[in-house]
Amino acid sequence: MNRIRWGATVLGLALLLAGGVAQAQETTGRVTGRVSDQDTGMPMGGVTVIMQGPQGEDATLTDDKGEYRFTSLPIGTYVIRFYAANTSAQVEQPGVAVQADKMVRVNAKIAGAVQAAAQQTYVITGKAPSIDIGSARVGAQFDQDFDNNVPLGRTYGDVIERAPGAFVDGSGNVSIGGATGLENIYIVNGLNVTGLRYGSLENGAASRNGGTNLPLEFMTQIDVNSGGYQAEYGGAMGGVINTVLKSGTNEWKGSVFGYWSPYWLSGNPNVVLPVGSALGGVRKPDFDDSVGVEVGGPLIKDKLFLWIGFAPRITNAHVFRLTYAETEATDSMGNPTGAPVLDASGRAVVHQLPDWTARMNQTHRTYNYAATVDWIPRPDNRLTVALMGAPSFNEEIKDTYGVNSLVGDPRTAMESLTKANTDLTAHWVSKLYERRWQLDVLAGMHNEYLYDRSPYSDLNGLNELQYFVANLSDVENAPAACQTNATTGFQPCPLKPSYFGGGFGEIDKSNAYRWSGEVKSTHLFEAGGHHELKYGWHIDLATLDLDRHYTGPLGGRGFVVLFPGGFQTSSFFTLPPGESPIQYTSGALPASNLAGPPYYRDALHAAVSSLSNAFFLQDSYSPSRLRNLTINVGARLELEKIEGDNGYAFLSTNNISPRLSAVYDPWNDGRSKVSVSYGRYYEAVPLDVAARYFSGENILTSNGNIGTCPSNLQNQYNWTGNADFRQCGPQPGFATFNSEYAQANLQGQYHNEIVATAEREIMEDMTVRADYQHRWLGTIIEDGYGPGFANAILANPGHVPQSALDAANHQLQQANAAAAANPNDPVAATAAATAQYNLGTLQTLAAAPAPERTYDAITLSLNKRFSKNWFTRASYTYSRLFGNYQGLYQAETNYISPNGGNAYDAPELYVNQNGALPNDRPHLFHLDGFYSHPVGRGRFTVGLSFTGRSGTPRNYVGNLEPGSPYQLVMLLPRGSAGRTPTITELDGKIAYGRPLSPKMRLEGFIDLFNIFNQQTALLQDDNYTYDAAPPILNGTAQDLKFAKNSGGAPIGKNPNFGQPLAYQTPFNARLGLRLTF
Amino acid sequence: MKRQFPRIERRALLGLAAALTTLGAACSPNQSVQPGAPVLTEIKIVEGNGATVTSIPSDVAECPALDGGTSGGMCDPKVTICRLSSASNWCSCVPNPAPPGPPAPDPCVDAGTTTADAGTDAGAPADAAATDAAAVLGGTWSCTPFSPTAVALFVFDRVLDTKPLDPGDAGGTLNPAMLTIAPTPPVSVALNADYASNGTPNEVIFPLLGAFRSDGPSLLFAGQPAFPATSAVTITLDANKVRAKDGKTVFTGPGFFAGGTLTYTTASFSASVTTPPTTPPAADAGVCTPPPITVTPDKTPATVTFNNFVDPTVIASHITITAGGVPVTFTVTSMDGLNVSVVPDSKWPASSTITITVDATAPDLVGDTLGAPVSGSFTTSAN
Repeated sequence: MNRIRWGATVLGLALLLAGGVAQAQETTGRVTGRVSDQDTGMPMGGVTVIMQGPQGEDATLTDDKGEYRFTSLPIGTYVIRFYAANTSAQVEQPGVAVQADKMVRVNAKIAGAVQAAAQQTYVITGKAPSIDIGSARVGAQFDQDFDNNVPLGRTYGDVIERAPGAFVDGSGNVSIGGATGLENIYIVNGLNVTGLRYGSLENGAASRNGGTNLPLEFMTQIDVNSGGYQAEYGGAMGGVINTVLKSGTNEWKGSVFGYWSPYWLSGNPNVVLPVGSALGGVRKPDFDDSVGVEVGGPLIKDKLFLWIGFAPRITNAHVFRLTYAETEATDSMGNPTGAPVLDASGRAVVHQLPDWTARMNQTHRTYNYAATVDWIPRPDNRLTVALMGAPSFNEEIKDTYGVNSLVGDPRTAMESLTKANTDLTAHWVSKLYERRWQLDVLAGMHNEYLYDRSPYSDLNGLNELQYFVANLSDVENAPAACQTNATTGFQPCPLKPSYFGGGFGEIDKSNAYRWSGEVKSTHLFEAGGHHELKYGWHIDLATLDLDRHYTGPLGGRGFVVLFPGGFQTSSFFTLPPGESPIQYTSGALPASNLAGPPYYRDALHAAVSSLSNAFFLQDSYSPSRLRNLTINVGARLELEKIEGDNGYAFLSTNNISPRLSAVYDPWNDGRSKVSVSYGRYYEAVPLDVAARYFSGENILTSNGNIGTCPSNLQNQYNWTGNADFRQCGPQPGFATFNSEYAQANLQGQYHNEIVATAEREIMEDMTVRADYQHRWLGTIIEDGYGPGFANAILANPGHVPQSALDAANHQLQQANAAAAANPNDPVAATAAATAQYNLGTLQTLAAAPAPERTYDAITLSLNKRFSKNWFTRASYTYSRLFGNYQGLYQAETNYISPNGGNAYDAPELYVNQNGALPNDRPHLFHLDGFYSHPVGRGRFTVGLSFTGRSGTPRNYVGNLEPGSPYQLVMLLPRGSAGRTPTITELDGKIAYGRPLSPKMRLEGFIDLFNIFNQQTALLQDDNYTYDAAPPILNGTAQDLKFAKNSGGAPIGKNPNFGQPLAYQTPFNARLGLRLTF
Repeated sequence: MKRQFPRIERRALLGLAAALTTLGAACSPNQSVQPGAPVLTEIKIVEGNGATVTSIPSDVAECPALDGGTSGGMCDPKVTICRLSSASNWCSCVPNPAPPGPPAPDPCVDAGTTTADAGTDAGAPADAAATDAAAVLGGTWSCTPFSPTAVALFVFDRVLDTKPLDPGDAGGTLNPAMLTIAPTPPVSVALNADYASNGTPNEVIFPLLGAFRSDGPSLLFAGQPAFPATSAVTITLDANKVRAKDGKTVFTGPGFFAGGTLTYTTASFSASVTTPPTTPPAADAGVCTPPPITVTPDKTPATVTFNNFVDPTVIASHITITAGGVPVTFTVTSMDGLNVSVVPDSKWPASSTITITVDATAPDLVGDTLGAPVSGSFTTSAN
């Protein structure tokens, strides 16, 4: 036994003794099969089986049942050779595709003639099967052929949506299985690279960052697991995206590539023109260019391999903020009426003011890099080290949480955003004891850095100003066409719902790490059948350091809202120990105290962390008498603890996830399967909720009368953002305590899932498949308020355990006893009041409707591997997604605050919520394919990609607070306003490549996106009113006419209701060159 | 030729599709309007645009015999309201005030003495026994009549059929209830109805915002032009018009709500005078005799507040202002029909005692008169 084996043995035994079980994400594949005598059908034991692949050879012997099995095979295409005993003749099966975490069966029959022959090779002409007969997972895998020949975006994140049933939702990430786009996990070379703060993948979104996303040229495989995955996978309620970087092989290979998307190859985009507001806009591309190189090969043949890649990308675009003016109508006498001229549909007729167009230039520069080193000291031992990252530097229009960023000062709207992800991982694999034991050890680090501020330094020192009931004439001294008619009061250029000016707003700087360690042990043994027993341990230590502050001068930082006659400022504050929100919400202490020391804060700092220990144990069992049946039984224990800034562990869960599946290969030939699975899947809670709600974030909102300000500031348009409000009179305030309490015995968020699949290879290289997937929610983690609206509690709304209510009751009794014993102690009295409030809030949340999100889907798919010059992958998914809880992303408000959303903020928000959720897309069709044909010395390739999907359900929403876009009331039952239009898009690719030398090939191509230039509305304005208005319980659209706002007056209809807010990207094309060698 | 797609798989696929279609339909939440009769869940009398809301429960009990005929008598504040049929009115249980603490020391009085008679239990009611008894239960019945501007609110558990409640684009007066007033007012009074389709029980935020109609779909009734003072107002919902969305099923209600009838009594027509704000003189440290409080002789308006709607153009002729007995000319304006601003045509005369008087015949919109003059005075400072 060599030193490596000893070390691995000791480590493995230590794991066993500790009772711990390990978890690692698969970056390799498996092949199994049965060798039999073609003449007698009897199994052939002792046959030597050799797999030759990109990094050398691997060999094994068949057992007495003729079975053989390879595990941990690097991804690639292999040749399998079978050598019968006592002969040097061989049977060869070429073209065996090995894919990550997939097991294919390749059987072989060796004729007697072969066994008797000598020095002869018999090639099996039939294609090796490609169906995964080892698991019941659903999803899709994408390889380099797909990436190179189908028109796609530039990163692996752009490919995920091509999986059956997947699409990009409002979060900018891909919805899988009815979940929101923030509920997936992303793995590169076994390392979890998912965004630490929000659970997202980096996709170029403004104002926030996400997990590491890399160019397709760096990836060798992208595996989208949409459901049915086994116990070794966890932390996701959507999908698990498992990707693998390229590795060096025994040949030096690589490519140099370049892409060019000039502006003149793009269509004219539709203008978003809000009705009733003077400002609209349109984004136009300038260019999207990238170049890159990737190369890999052997440093020591069969032993040491290197692959490196570098691909910078620069994207420039510009946004026109367009200005429109309404025209005042006149009566029969020619006198102005004070009302606008209306068109036939009753909307105001507008004309553009071209001289008032503002241009905002956007630029994104991303420098992607990656490298892998594979060391294979012996055939049964492998070390893979990977380094990757994608620093980016951006100037762009910021995201202001659902408010149209174009309605504002062009300088205020811009942000300078620096993002940088860095990842490092090392993965060791040892196969021991004649390969009956495999040990995987992985260690890695994922880092995310973000810095978001204004590109204009002066705006970083001024308060952002938001004007309500404003018009362009006042805020920008707009041209004569916008001047208010002094006689009639008619305003040609109203701004709805508001206008942003002044300083930048909120500056964010964060640095986050995830330190990961994984150990996994796999044992192959026979006991009444074949077992593949796995157990493992996965540890993640995640940290997030977040600095935030409103812009403004020191001592006067805040966000300012201005409206006729008054103003409202928001500033950060923290409460010292011993004080409680209830003192302020009950009026015992004036909230205006919080505007000054020691409460006011210029900036907030949060240093939060989470520690996740996950253990899994699973067994894949194939009975001796039924080898074509695989039963997977497993369980996963996830111990998750999250600490806020003060070290308080507000969440500490012990989540147990059972997993059970059965896979049956009816003909035992690897060409068909029927499977069924059940599993429970828990969420890995992102750190945003800890950084915001358990790190002292509280916001004081103070109201002032503008008449109390110095005379020059009594004109609100003279405000500059230089802490003008500090010069005004008393400003009574009310506090929003975002600092939260946590429910005792907080349970993890999870859903259950049942998946059933039938798949069959109906002809060579082509399979058809039917999947049924059913998911339903268990508990969720969300925050909510109770009567009194003091502070929120992070809880399991609708499923608050009795033990938590008992604990809150016990706490109340203790606090009451302490207060009674110390009647003059204000701290004791405060504690008693707080305990009383917390119990009331918890009772409210216990009585709240239980969260529901039920997904049912049937997917029919057809997959044709590339052969005979063509490739096709098609899927149709019919699904329904009903419930009252969307998930970690709230589409109506474009609110990204995982586990701290608004669904349970107040009982008013519980009403009318049950219906078709935003990610309900009943019909979803994907078709991808390409055809490649020799032309001259080269090959001509045509690729197509078509998507058709239902629109998103639409709603009638109002506000909980007037003008506030954050907490939306469903005026009518969810989905009552119909659905946005069906979206279809056809993309194409035309390529021609020809060899320059035997090992070098040059290919030129053009990608055509949205060939028919369809610009269907993706999003429509659902805000029926900006008024605060209670919901209409189970009402209909006819009842809206009679709805009243919080003041008792009929609600004011938003004139922009139903109007498009975003359109499909118009036709655009991309030219490219790729030199492969 | 071998069948590529076995029959059993085709059947399985078709079965799966059918199952999903069925399942999808079954899982679709029921969003339709709640069937059945709308149930009257609350009746409220709302005064001061929501400042005071008297909520009547369906199981309201008859008031016990009350001391003093209409008010007084002990009650348990947990039972917030009772029905005083004899007076066509309602009584609220008002929690007794906390016992007064020792008076704050007056810096202008020598220590050891108070301005009140030290031997008297200040503020003690004459009927000490009744007070003690009330103190046991913690409350006292109050049967104060309601403001004539009060509105009646009927709250339901589900949306109503809007056809009888829709005045149409041209507007008009709805008539989903019958109004009875006793005695018959001098001016004809109609019922002004307004239907709100929104609102749900157990709301938290909207009540904080002052939305008194947020408990559920509601019908709000006000008098047109106003309810009369000192009258018994009875509003009875019209079962043919207050009905379910099906256009047929009439509303129901438990207990007292079954008939959809509310009767209450309005207070007598009254007014009060609010003088212009005074300018307190600077305190003179060490001097305990306060200087006289005066009003700056400018054009700051005084306000006459009525408890029922008035026509300011009519009411102007019922107001007189004198300065030391000399008439002062003025102008009357009103934004809401309840508060009448009185502004002197020139500045208030300086160093004068100004008296504002509303005469006894000043009428509200329904023709009720004050019955007795109401006046208020203030003193202006020197120029």
